[in-house]
Amino acid sequence: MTPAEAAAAEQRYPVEFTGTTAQYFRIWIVNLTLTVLTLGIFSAWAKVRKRRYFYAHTRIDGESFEYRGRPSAILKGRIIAVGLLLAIVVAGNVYPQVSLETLTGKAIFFVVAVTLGPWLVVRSLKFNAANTAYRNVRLAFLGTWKGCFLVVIKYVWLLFIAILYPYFKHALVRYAAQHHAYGTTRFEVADFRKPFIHAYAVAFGVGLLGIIGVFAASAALGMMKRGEAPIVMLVGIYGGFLLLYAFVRARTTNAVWNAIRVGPVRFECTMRGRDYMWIYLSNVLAIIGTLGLATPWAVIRTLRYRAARFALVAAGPLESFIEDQTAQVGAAGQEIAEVFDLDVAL
Amino acid sequence: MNAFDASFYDGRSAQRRAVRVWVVGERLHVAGEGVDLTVGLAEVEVDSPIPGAPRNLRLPGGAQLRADEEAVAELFAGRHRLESLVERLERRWPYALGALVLLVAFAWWFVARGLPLAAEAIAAHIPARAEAAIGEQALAAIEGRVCSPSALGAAEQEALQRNFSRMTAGLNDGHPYRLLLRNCPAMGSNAFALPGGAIILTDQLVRLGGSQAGISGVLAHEIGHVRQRHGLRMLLQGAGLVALVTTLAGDAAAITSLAVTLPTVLLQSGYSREFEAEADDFAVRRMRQVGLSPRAFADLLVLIDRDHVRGAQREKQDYFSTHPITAARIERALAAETDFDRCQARSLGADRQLAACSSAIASGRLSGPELAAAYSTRGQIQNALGLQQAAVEDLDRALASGSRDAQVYNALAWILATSPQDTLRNAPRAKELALTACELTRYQDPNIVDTLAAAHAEAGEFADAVRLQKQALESPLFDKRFAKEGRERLALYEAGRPYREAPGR
Repeated sequence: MTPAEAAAAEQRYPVEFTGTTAQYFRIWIVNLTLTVLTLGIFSAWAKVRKRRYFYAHTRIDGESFEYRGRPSAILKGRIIAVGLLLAIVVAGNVYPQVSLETLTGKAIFFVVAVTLGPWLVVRSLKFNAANTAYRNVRLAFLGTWKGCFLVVIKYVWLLFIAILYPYFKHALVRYAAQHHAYGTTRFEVADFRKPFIHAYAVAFGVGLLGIIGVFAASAALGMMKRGEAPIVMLVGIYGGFLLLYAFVRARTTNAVWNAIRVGPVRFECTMRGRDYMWIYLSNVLAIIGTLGLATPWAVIRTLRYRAARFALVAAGPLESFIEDQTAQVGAAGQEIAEVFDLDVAL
Repeated sequence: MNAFDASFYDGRSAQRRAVRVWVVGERLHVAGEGVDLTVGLAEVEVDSPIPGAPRNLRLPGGAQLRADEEAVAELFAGRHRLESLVERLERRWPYALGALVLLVAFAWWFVARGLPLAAEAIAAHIPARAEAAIGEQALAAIEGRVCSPSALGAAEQEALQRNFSRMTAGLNDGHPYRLLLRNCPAMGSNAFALPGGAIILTDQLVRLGGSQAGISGVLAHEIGHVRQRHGLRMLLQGAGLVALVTTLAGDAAAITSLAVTLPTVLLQSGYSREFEAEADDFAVRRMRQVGLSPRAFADLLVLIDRDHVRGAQREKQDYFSTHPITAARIERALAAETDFDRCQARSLGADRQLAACSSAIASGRLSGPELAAAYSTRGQIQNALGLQQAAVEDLDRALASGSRDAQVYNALAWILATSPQDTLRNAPRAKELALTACELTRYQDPNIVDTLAAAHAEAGEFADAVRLQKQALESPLFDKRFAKEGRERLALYEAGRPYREAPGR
């Protein structure tokens, strides 16, 4: 088969998102109220219900996804997270010698973050993958604490130079993507470093120009003297950061998914930086303007946009491939979720 | 017989098969495209309903059925009772809007009542040692960086420490109170309490020139913060607010961090105002206990406020002016003032002071030193207004109520020695009173010695009058404003004549 023939045989499967703002608003407000009334305990059920709503309304080839996370596992994860946070705050307040402002405190925090961090990340990825199913076949995350720890150790020094952060992030994302599988089919990940780093480079460059511009403009308008500059600058810098964040999210998501191949299936992710920037900005304005009531609308339209810009491309009918590729899945996947019954939102 | 269509997935491949499911008693019979099996209903695991989503039925062995919610709702009505109820709420607008109303009401109650109550209860269970550790950390952050040791004189520092001991004496609430005097140019005129009992008073506040009683009020205010554990409660309430606002923001938190921070900060400043009011109330009560008027505290608040407004104007940061808040605090402190307090308040003006003294005396609630002080103040004001007859009566009553105030003896002696009204003058009594006043002040107050001289002159003992008058005039403490009158009196005594006040003055 020549490349041209192969391309002709390819079939495109768009992702449909069928959730509606009205439906999600009701789910959101009911779950939020129950969460607040139960002082947070219901939040685990709320999270699962919302996620199950999103998954059930995300379809490929007419088949929806399924989220199987158990609220009790999420509650457990949240209790652990809150406990950790309390321990850090209390330790910092009662033993000032280990607070984050001291060198000892920083060293302890660094060691704990480098060892505990990968463990939490791996656990969460395993939990989320094992609890995501499509056509009763689960995703799996095959990474290990050791593997993730080695990646972190190898690249963590990059964090000491802020501008090299994208390389660190790239290494982590790459590790996460490479160790996923659908059933027994491992994700194959092509090199995506160039577009990934490029997104950050553009954002850093524009951000730097923006900061210079804000300073120059406020100096030119004489606001520095009148003492108004800090507020205007704060809003400007916050808004700019938000826009650049959206831009990076769109571009890096594209970069990662376009490099992934699962058996004969590849992905087309074509989100546009400027669309995503507009979505983020208008979301924030709408949420602030409605005192939060527009949150469900913002969430649904963001998911709808992402789905519209995402498609599977299969070398042949999806149905037949999937039947072949996942024929050997045993019951092993079943236990994974039970053993790793822990989800820590990071 | 009950039957419905479903999709079947065997769990070994992703293949979908269309099947028909029959419910026969307590069993499910599944049949279609190469599938033919029967399972007990009890062995089937079903997930909870989600609006607009199909239901998944997990069969033993890893296979799964997917069916419409309507088809199986009745079959599994007994499962997931709680979440089924939640789903019914999620499906209908009236419930959703009801939830919204409930949420707003609860959030309001939580912020206004629930959280402060909870913080108070939790604070009561936190050991004093932990509280002190928090205070130590805060202190370490200030020492050397923002504040240096006080530059006030040793005597002044000692006086402030004595003042502080007086305000904390007998509180017996287990807090290790201590006053730290510090020079903090960056903070300006300020005083603040740290958790655990350390209270910091800045040199800048002491130098504003408020009265000792005013400083006592400020110290009592800070003691009130420590006593009611405001520092700790603020920390706890702040944490509670962050938790609430983060929960409310939920989905939006990641993209609207500013929108989360802002309400937290605003709500927190509301708590801070409540704590200030509580501490003010304590300050007023405490001042009353040790016999001080809340007016002194209010006067110092005015000075502090003016100082801060000046500072803000200098820094051009007038958009967060504290002025209206301080005005309300001053009003509250003054509202706690009694007629007696107003009677003793020099800054009020003679008319209002006189009226306050009269109503304080008329109330019949005064006794002992307070009654004596009210009579003496009214007497001295009446004297200054030229109402000598009334002044003599009040000053007499002040002495009868047990006053040992030299100024009362002096004022009465002066009228009895120098009044233009013949019926009021009484030389022997004037001498006796002036002598007592001199003894009370160990002859160190030249203005009182001046009175004794006038009494001697009225009694015809001019040699004594001249000697005493000279002694008074030589003192450096003699009021320069009366220097000319004093010399004229000396000339009169030398000429063998007593001194008389001008009539109708």
